[in-house]
Amino acid sequence: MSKIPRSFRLLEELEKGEKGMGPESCSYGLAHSDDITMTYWNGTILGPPHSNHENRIYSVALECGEEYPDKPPKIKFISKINLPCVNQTTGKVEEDRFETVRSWKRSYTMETLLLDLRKEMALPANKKLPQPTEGTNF
Amino acid sequence: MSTYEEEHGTTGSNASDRRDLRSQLHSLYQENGTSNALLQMLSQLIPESMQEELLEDTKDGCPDNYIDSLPRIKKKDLKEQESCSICCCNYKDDEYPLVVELPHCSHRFDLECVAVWLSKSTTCPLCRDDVLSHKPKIDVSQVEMEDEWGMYG
Amino acid sequence: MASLPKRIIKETERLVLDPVPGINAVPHEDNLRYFQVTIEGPQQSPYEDGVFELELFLPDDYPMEAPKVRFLTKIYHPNIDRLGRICLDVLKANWSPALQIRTVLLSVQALLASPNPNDPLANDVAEDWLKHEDEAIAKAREWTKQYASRK
Repeated sequence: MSKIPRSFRLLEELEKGEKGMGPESCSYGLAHSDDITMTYWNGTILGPPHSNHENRIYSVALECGEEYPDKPPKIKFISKINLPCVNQTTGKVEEDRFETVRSWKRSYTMETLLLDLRKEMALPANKKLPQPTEGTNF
Repeated sequence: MSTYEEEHGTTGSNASDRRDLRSQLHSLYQENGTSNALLQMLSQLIPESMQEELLEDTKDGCPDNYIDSLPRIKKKDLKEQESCSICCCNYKDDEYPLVVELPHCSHRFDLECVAVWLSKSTTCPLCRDDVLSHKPKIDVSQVEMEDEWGMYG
Repeated sequence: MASLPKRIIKETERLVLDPVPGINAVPHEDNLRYFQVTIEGPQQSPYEDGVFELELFLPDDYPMEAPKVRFLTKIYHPNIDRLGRICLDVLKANWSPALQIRTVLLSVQALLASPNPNDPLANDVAEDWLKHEDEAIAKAREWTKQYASRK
């Protein structure tokens, strides 16, 4: 397999997001539609059912640096959330506490990250964690 | 010399049985002109997953037996520097070149190269002539096949 | 990485040894399917005197699948959107495996010479183009000066 360059990989992800082929439980798109470098992205995660996150919609900011997809994007929660892998002051997802980032592979996408964060919310150890008031931001 | 499929790490014929059946159905459909009803009827005899493939195949690409029936060019009829415009290799670099000609526009290609293209398109790579717009010649193998299918009739 | 198909090697050699006037394409050292491209704006077009940077990638299925091409330089053109994506038939439905990197880049150059606002990718630009052609052309000239000046 040849290595698809960063920009064409991001365009594929954008098109998938735009066409709505992605799963309904998360969405993502460019933060600025004229950002030719395609660095800053917004994402949303729908809280998983049967958890304290049910019916909540979480906003996250993603930053795909120059080395994406060889290196994972930086992710930060905009909406307040109580999760072990999320820094409670800044909302940043801590690299060493989130397996998908820690063992990042080139084949992973922003969608992979959002879906895995959602799984994180649904873990038995996390799903009943007390959550901040809905609609508050970091 | 490596083939297109080797270089690209793809394999050409998986599930060849299914492909046979599919192309048989397809040519039967073609013989009967535009009667989609026949195809619909036949497709009910096969599993759903295949029905989709079958109906999809009628939209893009040429049936396998069309590709197999393309006339071959003898090595002695190839010019010294003649090359395939798909892989850009001289035909005569290969000791046993397998070159075919499209019947109406007479453009030539390596069989391996053009077979991959015609499996997803019906146009000549060089002049965009729709190769299926001309009544295809049906090859002899159809005769036996019709008997076989007769039992459903 | 899988070995490079012969065709890609031949095309690359020819691009370097026998370049198309006004077009330059060089593969990246660490990815021979990924090209850094520049195209000079055609004379008598609003893009005249501009040098536009593009990137081109040959996917695994090339030449059965078209190359992927994108503008990196900002450009005001009805068939090129804000992310540099190009609306060009030979890159989509009209691709043929007999086309090459060089023919694709020539088509892109031709698209600069004759914008087609009736088949737009950038709708706002196309609208401008159809309603106030003079103004649109002036703006394209301005952007060329601002973003595509020879360095």
